[in-house]
Amino acid sequence: MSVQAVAGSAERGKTIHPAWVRVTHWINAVAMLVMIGSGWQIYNASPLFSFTFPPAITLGGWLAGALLWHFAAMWVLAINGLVYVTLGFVSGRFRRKLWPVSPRAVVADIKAALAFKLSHDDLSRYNAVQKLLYAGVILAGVLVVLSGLSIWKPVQLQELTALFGGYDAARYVHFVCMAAIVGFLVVHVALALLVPKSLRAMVAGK
Amino acid sequence: MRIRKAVPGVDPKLLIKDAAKAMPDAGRRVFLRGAASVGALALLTGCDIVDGDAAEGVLRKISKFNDAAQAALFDSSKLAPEYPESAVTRPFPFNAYYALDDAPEVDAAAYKLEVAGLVDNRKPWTLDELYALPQVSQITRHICVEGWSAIGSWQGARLSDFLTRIGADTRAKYVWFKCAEGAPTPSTWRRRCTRKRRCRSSSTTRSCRALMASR
Repeated sequence: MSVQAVAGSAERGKTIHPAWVRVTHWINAVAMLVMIGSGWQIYNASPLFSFTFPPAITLGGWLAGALLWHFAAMWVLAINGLVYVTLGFVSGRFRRKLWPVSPRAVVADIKAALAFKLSHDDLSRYNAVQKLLYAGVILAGVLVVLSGLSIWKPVQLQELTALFGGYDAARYVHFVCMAAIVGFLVVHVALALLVPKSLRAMVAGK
Repeated sequence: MRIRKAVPGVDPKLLIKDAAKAMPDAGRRVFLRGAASVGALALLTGCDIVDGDAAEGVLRKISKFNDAAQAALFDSSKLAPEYPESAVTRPFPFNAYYALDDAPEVDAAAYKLEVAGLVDNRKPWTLDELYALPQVSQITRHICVEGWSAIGSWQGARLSDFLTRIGADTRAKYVWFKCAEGAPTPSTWRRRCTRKRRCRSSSTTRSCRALMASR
């Protein structure tokens, strides 16, 4: 399938997303949804703030069920994430796609986006806002895994837990990263639906 | 600084009843409802995830895999960090599925700790006998599976000492505690973790004081 995609791209424009990006993207999408849904259920057992998540949008039914889901999907998320980040650096994709990004370009592109004047002609090139959001969500993804590890194993990984300022602080970091990822997800999905060819590119590659 | 009475969204009676079983029948329905409610799982329908038994079976297998992975990855002799006396959480949070006043009364004089399972000596223990064992103390953070944590000062006999005395088979992986409140609390042996907090919240405080995990 990837061979075909490459051959086709030579004739009709370049491949926007190589196969490894598309595969890891969709595995990550499923793993993230499971982690978020079960994570909300776990949160509800001992809320950090004065709200809980409606049971209808959580996964697992109760604390023990949610923990089973969370500790199952964590492998998928972590291994898939590791493959993605490694290939992102090794292939040079991160450097090419996400770098450089200047504050001035971000402000200019936000203005253009709000005026619906941001160009989407070339999906293979990210604008400054995209660069910032994608780099940001990758960082949040790394942090959510690290803080998750320190909550999961606060004795075995106590040095990591201490790095986050202790167990309780690591819970807040974990929550804030989740919130950042969910915030990204809302914008990301909304914009992908607004520009359907970007969705096609993440499925078919171009 | 907070008094916890119940876990939101969890039926206390159901949970106590179900704590005895690995994945309870009654809780399973709740579990499945939650599983089915997430639209994301539609993506996984190819895996027959809509069938709850299949999903649960897979999750159970992964959970067993996780136990093995953790045993292989982590060091069972690594100890929890200790804290100074000033770090102790006061008051230590009360956390149970009932109010403090509803905790069952235990007659200390008549109390007997019954021992069963893979042990040589099943002689029951009185509180005085437990207190006569070498006593240790430590100040460590208790982390509840629910997510909250509190630093407590723990005293009592070392669980490993007690297990040696009763001739326990140390190849066993779990120690099972049954508190006076009736909710059995399974505990891992290898990870040397007991439900200290839960014991303390129940009326079996004294027996738990007498029989403390070696961190």
